[in-house]
Amino acid sequence: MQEELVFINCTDDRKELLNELLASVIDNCVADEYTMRITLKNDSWDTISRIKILQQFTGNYIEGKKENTNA
Amino acid sequence: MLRIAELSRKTEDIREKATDLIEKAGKKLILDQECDKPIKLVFAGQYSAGKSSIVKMLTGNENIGIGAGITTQETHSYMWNGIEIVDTPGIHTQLRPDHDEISYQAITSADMLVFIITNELFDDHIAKHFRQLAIDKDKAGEMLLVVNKMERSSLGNTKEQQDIIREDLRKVIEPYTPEQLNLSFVDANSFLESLDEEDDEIAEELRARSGYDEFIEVLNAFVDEKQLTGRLTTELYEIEAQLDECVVELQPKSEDIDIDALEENYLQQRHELFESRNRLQQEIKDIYSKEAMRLRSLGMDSANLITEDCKQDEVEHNLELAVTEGNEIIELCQNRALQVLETRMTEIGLAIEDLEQAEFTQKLIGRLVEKYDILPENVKGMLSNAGKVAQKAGNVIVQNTYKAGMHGGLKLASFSGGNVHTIILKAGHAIKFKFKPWQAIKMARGVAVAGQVLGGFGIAFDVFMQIKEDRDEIKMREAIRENKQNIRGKFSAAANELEDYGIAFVQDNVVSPLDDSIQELDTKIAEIRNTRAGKNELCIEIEKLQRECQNLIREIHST
Amino acid sequence: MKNNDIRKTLKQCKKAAENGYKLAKKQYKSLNETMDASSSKIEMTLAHINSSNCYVSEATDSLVEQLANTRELLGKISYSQNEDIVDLSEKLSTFSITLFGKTMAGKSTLMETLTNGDGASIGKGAQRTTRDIRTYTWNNLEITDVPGIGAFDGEEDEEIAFAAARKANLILFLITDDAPQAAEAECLGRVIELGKPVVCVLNVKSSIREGENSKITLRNIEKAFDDERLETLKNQFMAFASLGGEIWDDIPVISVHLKSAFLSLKTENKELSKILAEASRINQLKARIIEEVETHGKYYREKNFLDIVSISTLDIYEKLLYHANENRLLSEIIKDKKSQLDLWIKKYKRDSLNQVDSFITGIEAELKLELPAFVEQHYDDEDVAKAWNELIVQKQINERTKSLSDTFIEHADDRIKELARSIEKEIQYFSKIGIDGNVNIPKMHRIFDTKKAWDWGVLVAGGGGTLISGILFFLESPWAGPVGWVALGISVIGRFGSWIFESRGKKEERAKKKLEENLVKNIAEISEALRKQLKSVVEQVFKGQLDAQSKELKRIESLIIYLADTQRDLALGLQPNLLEQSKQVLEAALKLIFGGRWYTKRIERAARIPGKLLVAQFNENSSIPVKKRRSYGN
Repeated sequence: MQEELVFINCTDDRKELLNELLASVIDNCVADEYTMRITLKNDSWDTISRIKILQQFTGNYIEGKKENTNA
Repeated sequence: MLRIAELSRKTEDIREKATDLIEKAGKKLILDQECDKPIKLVFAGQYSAGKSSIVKMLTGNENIGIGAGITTQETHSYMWNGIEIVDTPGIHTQLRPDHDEISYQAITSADMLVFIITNELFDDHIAKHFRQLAIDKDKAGEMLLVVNKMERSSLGNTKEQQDIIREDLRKVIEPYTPEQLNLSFVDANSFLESLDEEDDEIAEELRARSGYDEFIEVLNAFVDEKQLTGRLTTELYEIEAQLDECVVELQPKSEDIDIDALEENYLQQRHELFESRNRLQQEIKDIYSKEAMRLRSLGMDSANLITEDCKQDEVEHNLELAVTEGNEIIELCQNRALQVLETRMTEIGLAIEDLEQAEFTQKLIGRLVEKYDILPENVKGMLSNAGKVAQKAGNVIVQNTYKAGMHGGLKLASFSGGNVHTIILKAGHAIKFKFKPWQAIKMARGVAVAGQVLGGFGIAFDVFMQIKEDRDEIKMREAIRENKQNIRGKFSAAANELEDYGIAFVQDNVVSPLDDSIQELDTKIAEIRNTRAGKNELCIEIEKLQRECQNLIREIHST
Repeated sequence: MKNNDIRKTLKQCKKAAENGYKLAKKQYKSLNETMDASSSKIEMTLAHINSSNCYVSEATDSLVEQLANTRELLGKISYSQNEDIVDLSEKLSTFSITLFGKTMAGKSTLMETLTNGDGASIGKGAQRTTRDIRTYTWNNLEITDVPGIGAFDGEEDEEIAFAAARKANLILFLITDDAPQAAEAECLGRVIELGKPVVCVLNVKSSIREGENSKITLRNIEKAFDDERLETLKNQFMAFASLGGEIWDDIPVISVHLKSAFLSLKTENKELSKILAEASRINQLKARIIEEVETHGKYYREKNFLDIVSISTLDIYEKLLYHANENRLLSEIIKDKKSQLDLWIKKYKRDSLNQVDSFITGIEAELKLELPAFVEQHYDDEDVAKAWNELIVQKQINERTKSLSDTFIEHADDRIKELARSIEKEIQYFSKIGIDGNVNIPKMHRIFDTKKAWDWGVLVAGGGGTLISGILFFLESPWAGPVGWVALGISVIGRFGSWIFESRGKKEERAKKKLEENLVKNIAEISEALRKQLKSVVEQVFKGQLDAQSKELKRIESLIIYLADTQRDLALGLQPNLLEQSKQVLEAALKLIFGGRWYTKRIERAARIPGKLLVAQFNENSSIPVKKRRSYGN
C-alpha cells in the first residue's frame, strides 16, 4: 500500500539509471569501479529508497552525502 | 654571567619541572645517556697561576680554597648550573709528575679547556706542556688561553701590556695564533676584590682592570662558535617530545573532527621534518668530521716526512703536495656538503609532498575546502599561510595562499620544493663568504694554512742542518720532534677551522630553515590546542611547560 | 453480512498463498545455491589466507574472523528463512492479521470486541498486560495479539511482537489519542520495513461509566471524535515519519472508540447497544478490514512469502556492499602508510651505513693520532700492550659503539611507533567521515537475529584496534641485540731484536717503527671488527624489524583488499537473486492492478525496497502503456 510503484525507461548503464532515479536531487557524482559517490543538493522523502534501488541495480555501493555537512 | 651557564640553568629548571609533570601524567621522563653528559668546562694550567681564583670569578663559588699555600692536590669537579666544572691541579714541572697524569685524564673529555698561565711564571717547560696538550693531544680546538695576574706586570692589565705579552707568546703557540686560541688577559684578584669593595668608584675601576667583561665575551663567543648549546637543545628537544606525548594523550577532542584531523596532519609533517632535520644534521656533521680527520691524518703523514736523513728540497716539495691535497680536501668537503644538502632537502620536500598526496590528506583537504566558510577564523588563518618560509637573508617568501573558491586548491604542506631551491641558492652563495678574517694567506676559496708552513720551515731547516752537523743527537731528536709538531699543528689548525665552519654551515643551512617550518607547525598545533575547551589542569600545565621549552630552544638558536 | 464474499476471497487468497509459497521455495532454493557458492568462496579465501604466509599476526586473525563470521551469518539467514517459510506453509489457509501498539492502546479491547469475549484480558491500567501471543478468529480471519511495544525495559516483548509481525499479512497498528511517542513511530517504521501493509487504528479514549446517562456517554464520545482534534493528532504522529525520511500519508487511519464498541456488546439494553455501536464507529473499522482483504488480500498473501526471502537477503546485500567499501578505503590508508614507510626505510639504511662509515673512520683516525705520542712514550715499555689496551678503554670505544648501535635500534623503534599511531588516527578519521552526512548507512538493528550484535565485516568501526595491535606485534618481539662485543686491543706485541751494530738512536727508531706498525695493524683490526658489528646491527634492524614490517603492511593491505573483494563478490552473487525476487513481487503487483493482462516480459529488471519502493526498469524499445509514476492500491 505504501509501497510506491515506479517505472523507468533506460538501459543498464549506471549513469542512465542514476539519472532516471535521482536526477532531481543530485548535485554531483563521482564514480569508480566499485562505488558511486553522490552529493545531494536537497532531498525528497524517498531519496534514500531510490539510492538503495540504484544500489540493487548496479551492484555498486552508493554513498549519498548532503552538501555542507557540519562535523 | 656566562651565557651558557644561564641557558644550562634554565634547561635544568625545565628538566625538573618536566620530570614532575610527566610523573603526574603517569609516565616517566626518560632521557638518553647523551643528555646526561653535562657540558664540561676544565681549568688547567700552571701551578699557582691562580686557577682557583678564576674559577671563583666565573662561578662565584665560595668553596674554592684560594691562596699560595693551599694547593689543589687532586682534580675537583662539581656542578654549576648544570655545567660540570673541573678544576685540575696545576701542571708542575719537575716536582710532581703524577699531577700531570691526573690533569691529562680530566682534560680528555673537556668541551672547553681554559689553560691558565701567568706572565711571570711562563717558562720553557710550561711551553712544552702546552704544546703537548694543544698539538699532540689535539686539544687546541677546545682551548682558551688565559693570562692571569695581569696586574703584577709592569703596565698592568692595559692594552699596551697585552700587546707585548701577545707577541711574546706568539712563538710558543705556533702554529696557532693568539686569536685561534682565544687569548684573554685577566686579573682575577681585582675582580674578587671589587665584589667586597664598598666604594663604588673604586669597585668599578677594579672591575675594569680585572678584564672580566671581555673574558666573559670571549667565553660566550667560544660557546657559540662550537655550538656547545647543541647539547642543551638535544636535551630540550627530547624533553619537549615527551611532554608532547603526554599532551596528545590528555588532549580532549575538538567538536570538529576535521580540525582534529588537521592537527594530526600537522603532527605527521612535524615528525617528518624533525626527524629528517636531525638525520641531516648528523650526516653533514659527519662529512666535516671525516674530512677534518683526513686533514689531521694528512698532517701526521706530513710530519713523518721529517726524519734524521731527510733532505730539505724533498721535504719542501712533499709538503707542498700535502698542502695542495689539504686544500683539495677542504674544497671536496664543502662541495660534498652542499651536494648532500641539496639532495637531502629535496628528499625532505618529496616526503612532505608524499604526505600531502596521501588519501588521508586529500580527503581532509576536500572536506576543509567544502566547509571553508564556516571554519573558525583562526583555522582559516592557518590554512591561508601554509608553506610560508621566510629566509633570514634575502626575504624570499614562498607562499601558498588559499582563499575560498580559489583555483589551485588548498595545500597543507609546510615545506616544499620551492623552499629547497631557495635554501641551496643561499647556502651556495654563503660558502664564498664564510672564512675567518684573520687569515693572512689564502690558498684557495677556503681555509688557509699553506704559506705559514713553508715559511715556518725555512728557519727550522737552517737550525736543523746545523744540528746535524754538530752531531748532537739529543738536540737532533728535539729538533725533529719540534718540527713534526709544527707540521701537525698546522694541519690540525686547518682541521679545527673546517669543523668550526661545518658547525656554522649546519646551523645556517640545515637547522635554521627546517626550524622555521617546524616552528610554523608548532604554532599551528598550539593554536588548535588552545581553542579546545574542557582541558584538565594537568594538560594545561604541561602545554605551558612545552611552550617554555620551545621558547628556550628558540632562544638558544637565535644567536 | 459479507461472510460469503469473504470466504470466496479467502479461497482465492489461499491460492495466491500457495503460489507465493511455491515461488518462495524456489527463491529460497536459488538463494541457497548462491549462499553455498558464497560459502565455498569464503572457504577458498580462508584457505588462501592461511596458506599464503607462515606469519600469523593479530591483524590476520582479525581478518580471518570477519570472513568466518560472514559465513556463519549466511548460514543463519538461510536457516531462519527456511523456518519462516515452513511456519507459514503450515497456515496456507489462514489470513493473519497482527495487532500492534503500545500497552493500553486498546489491543485487548479490540480483541474482546471482535470475539465477543468476557473482557477478562482488558487491563485496567497496569503496564504490560499481554505477555504472550494470543490468537483468535474473527470472520475467518486469524487475529494475533502481541505484547505491547515501547514499554520501559520491554525489548524482549518487542522482539516477540516483531517475530509475530513477520508472519502477518496485514498489520493493525493501534495508537491512541494521547500524545504520540517516538518509540511507537519507530516501531511503525520497522513494521513498514518488513514490507507489511498497515492500517492504523486511532483508538479514541474517553471514559465511559457503566450505567451513566447515555446522553452523557454519547456526548463524550462525539466530542472525542472531533475532526480537527483528530486531524491534529494524525499529523503529529505522521510528523514522526519525516525523522526517518519517510512519508506516511498513504497509511489509512481509522478512528474508533473501542471501549464503547466493547460495551455495546456487553450491555443488555438493546437500544443503548445500538447507540454505542454506532458511536464507536466500530463498523467502519470492520468494513475497512474486510475491504483490505478483498481488494488486496491475494497480493498480500503472495507477497508475504516472497518477503521472507527478500528482506533478509536485501539486508545482507546492503551490508556487504557497505563493508566492502569501507574496507577498500582502509586498504588505501595502509597502502599510503607502506609507501611512506618504504621511503623512510631506504633513507634509514643509507644514512645508518653512512654513519657507521663516519664513526669507524673517526675512531680509526682518533687512534692513529694517538700513535706518535704513545710510541714515543712506550717504545721500550715492557707492558706496552697493557698501556695500549688502557688507552683504548679510556677512549670508551666499546661504549661509544654500543651507543651508536642503540641509536639505530631506537630510531627504527620510534618510526614504527609513529607508524602505528598515525594509522590509528587516520583510521578513526576515515570511519568518522564515512558516516558523516552519509544517508546510505545500513541500519544496525536486527531483522531476524536479535541477540548478537553486528561485528562482522568491519575493521573500521572499532577504530581498527585489532589491526593496530597486529602492527605493533613487531615492537613486542624480543630484540636480540648483538651477541658480544669484540675484545679490542692486543695481547702481545713482539719484542724487538737487538741490532748490535746499530747506533742507539737507530735502535730506538727501529723499535718505535716496529711498535707503530703493530699498533697500526691493531687499529685496522679493531675498525674492521667494529664495522662488522655495526653493519650487522643495521642489517638485523633492517631485516628483522623494518623490512618485515613493510612486508607485513603489504600483506595486510592485500588481505583487506581480498576481504573487500570477497564481500563485494558475495553481494554480486546475491544481486541476481534480489532482482529476481523483486521481479516476482512486481508481477504479483501488476496482476493486482491490471488483472493479469500485463506482459511482464517487457520488464527488463525490477528492484525493490520492501514497504517503500518498487522500481520496474524498461527497455528503450518497448512502450510503457501507463503513466510513469503511479501509486497503486488506493
